[in-house]
Amino acid sequence: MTISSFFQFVVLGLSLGAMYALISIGYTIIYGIIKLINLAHGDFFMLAGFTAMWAAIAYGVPLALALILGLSFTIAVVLIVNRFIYRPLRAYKMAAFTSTFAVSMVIQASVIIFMTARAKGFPHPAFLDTPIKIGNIVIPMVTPFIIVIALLLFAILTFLVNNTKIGTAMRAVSQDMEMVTLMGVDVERVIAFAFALSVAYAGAGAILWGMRYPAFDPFIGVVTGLKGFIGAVIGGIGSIPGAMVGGFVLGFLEIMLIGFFPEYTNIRDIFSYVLMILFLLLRPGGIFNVKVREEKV
Amino acid sequence: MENKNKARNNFLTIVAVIIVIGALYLFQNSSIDRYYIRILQYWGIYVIFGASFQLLYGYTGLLSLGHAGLIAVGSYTVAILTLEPSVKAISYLLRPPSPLIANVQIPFFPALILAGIFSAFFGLLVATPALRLGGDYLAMVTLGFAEVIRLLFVNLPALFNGSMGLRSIPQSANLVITWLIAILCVFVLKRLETSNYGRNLLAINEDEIGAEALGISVFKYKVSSFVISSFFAGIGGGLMASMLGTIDPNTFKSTLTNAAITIVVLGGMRSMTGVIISSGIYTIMSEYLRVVESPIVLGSFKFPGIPGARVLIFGFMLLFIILFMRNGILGDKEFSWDWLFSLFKRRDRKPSIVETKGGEQ
Amino acid sequence: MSLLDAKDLTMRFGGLVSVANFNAAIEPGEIVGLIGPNGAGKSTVFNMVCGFYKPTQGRVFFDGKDITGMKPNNIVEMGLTRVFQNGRLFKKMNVIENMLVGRQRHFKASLLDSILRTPTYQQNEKLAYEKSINLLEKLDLINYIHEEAGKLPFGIQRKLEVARAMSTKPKMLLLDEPATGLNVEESNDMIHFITQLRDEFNITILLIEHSMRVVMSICPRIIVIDHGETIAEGNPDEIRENQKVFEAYLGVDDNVEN
Repeated sequence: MTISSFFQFVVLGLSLGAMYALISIGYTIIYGIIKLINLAHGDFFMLAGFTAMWAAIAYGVPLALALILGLSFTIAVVLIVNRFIYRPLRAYKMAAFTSTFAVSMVIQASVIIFMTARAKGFPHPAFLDTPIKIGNIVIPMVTPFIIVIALLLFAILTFLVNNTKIGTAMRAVSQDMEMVTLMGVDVERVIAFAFALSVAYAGAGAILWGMRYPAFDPFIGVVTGLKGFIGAVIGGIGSIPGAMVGGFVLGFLEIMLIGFFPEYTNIRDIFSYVLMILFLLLRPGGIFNVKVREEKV
Repeated sequence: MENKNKARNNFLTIVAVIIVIGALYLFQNSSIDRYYIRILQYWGIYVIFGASFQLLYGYTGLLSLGHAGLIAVGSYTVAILTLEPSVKAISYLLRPPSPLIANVQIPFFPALILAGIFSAFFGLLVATPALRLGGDYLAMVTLGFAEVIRLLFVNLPALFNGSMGLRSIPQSANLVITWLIAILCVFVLKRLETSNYGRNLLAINEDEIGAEALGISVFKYKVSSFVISSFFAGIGGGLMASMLGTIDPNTFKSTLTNAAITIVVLGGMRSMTGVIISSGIYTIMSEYLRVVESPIVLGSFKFPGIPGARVLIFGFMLLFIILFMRNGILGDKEFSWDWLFSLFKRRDRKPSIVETKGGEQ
Repeated sequence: MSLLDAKDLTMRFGGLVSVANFNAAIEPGEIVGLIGPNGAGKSTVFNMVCGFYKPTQGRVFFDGKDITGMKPNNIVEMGLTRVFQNGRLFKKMNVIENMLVGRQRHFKASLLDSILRTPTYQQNEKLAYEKSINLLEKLDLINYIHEEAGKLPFGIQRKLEVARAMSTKPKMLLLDEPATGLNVEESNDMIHFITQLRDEFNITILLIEHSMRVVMSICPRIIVIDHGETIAEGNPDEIRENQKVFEAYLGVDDNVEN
């Protein structure tokens, strides 16, 4: 492998990683706050991308508007789901957990029924296809575009979490929910905000995904959601910077695997899975060594 | 429970089993449409899927999304071990069968036991890392397992014949055999659940720290219950391969996991009676809802089928049960003979339907 | 030789010192009280002793063996059982089942035995029932045997939790505020209950308690900690007159018995 093709893989890896990271964030935020793995998270990712795409290709909505439509629709859905399903079940852990799975079934099936089961191409502005030539390597414009957008979103998130009132409340709730309730914070509002945020970021990831890859289908949330989860584990579930780093690391390693061993392209999902198992066994707190919040004994 | 009743109840249970099996035998040898036989057989297999899932979900309190993967391991084990070498030689088109399996053929029953053992082994491999941090990650880790196992089938053609799958698997498991094994599985699982083992699982489910402070190794119990659950999922998978005769990686999509979850949630978290009833309901529903998914012609109108409708219905059904009838049909109530007899007696002394813990089985 | 020997136990969370150099040697048959104002680090000491926290520093010896960093369930195997402050009964299980779970470490039957209901299994199960019933009788809880634990009166729940810990057949019990939330009558009952444990089972007890009255009437020896440090040790009279203890509790209202 030459230096230039190595560089090319780095860019590809980072752009894939950026999309994973956008998904990982949602798992970490929700788990950090209410100790729930949202099994429908991958499907919210799919829903955001799919509705945006469907609005554009089936109803001819202009792309920019379609993207906003897709995101807002999905955020509305997650807020309704949270209010009428997750929230009443919060006191019953197994029921709440199982309900996230049922929600995943319903979302997938609804998309198939009301939109389509087929994979469709995502419309995207032509400039993203422009090849960029650096020396003797060529990368499509879309890859650096993804990295830049994702970095921008991460900067916004970091600011939001550290410098705003709602962000502070979010961190406080993840530390000690009871205490925060006593202090008069509206915990339910914080949780709703966290769900909206998690889905907004996953949705952004889905839109970028659609711009990058030729096809988008209703089942894409399963494996992609899993990758996001693996990214969160690698970084350390519960840590937002961990989720960003973990997502990047996973995407980067996947592309490196393909780059160095093209014959293993088919089994890159297995590789990622094994990576997660290794992390769980050897460093369960992830790169950031997140301590699982101890139950008070 | 009085001894006299216990002996009587055991006797009645045995009689009931004999009658059921006898009836199934008559069915099997009658001229009835094979389609109905197939549905009954599916029912028996789903009982095993549900019962094995219940140990984990209803007792230990763990959610796994990997049941389809474990079932797949059992199915492929039985398929590969019972296929005739000559059949393997001609059906492995992508690659010649690996020498590991090319000339292997063993009878159905040992193959079925091995199916359980292989599934249990994979269960151990998955559960150990996933459960080190409590149970929260188990669902995602097992979901990943179910995906990975399908990728392995596709990418190791010398062992699994890739996406072409395996054909002409000897159909040794007929209706009677399927149900006999299902009853045996139910019996063993129920015995475990009503013993000190099941009691400790329930304790863990209620309060992990409390259980640990009494000397219970929470991790060991969680892993072992996953392994036992996997074993029976493998047995169910083996029976399924033998019933279908043809399997490929797409046979083991998440539908099977959905089925296991739905059956337990619908039937009742800890009721074996509930599992048996709800697997019947599930089997029938998923069979008849096929209609909705295929096109219907009414006069001059042609309604296109609605693919995905079954998943939508089952998804909503699951949500409905979780939200509004959390105990499912039976909760933790179990059928008992004493309850049945009490129906015929005067109403003044009415033992409850329950004979949960320590009840005869 | 001491039954429990804690040497220089220290626990730091981040930069915060929760317990510093805690030392205690408890002889077989003793009942020792561990008191201190809220947040003094009493529960942290318990958590370190019975394996829920790994101490940052120091060692714990039980029955002559180093148990530092062992898992909670293995420490129970050694004969040291802990009762929680905030109640950890299996609420949906009935009283006898709660007791039977406590018996688990004496249950010597394999899974195969329980599937086949072999004589070994049946003997074990029978023995477990008998022992549990026996214990419930002795501790005057037998009337509740088939009641759901979560539905019992609060005072009885606390007693049951101690009884359940006793069914592990421990050499030593760690009791974390057994009288919290009890009214005067119930807490008198609890005092009687604990004294009864000592007299009938000759068991060693380390007791955290907020209520001075309870501690003073049960424990011949008392250790006082404040801000993670041991500030006094002695018999109830000595503790009552200790200036440091007085200061530590100053401003702390001692009417926790409601």
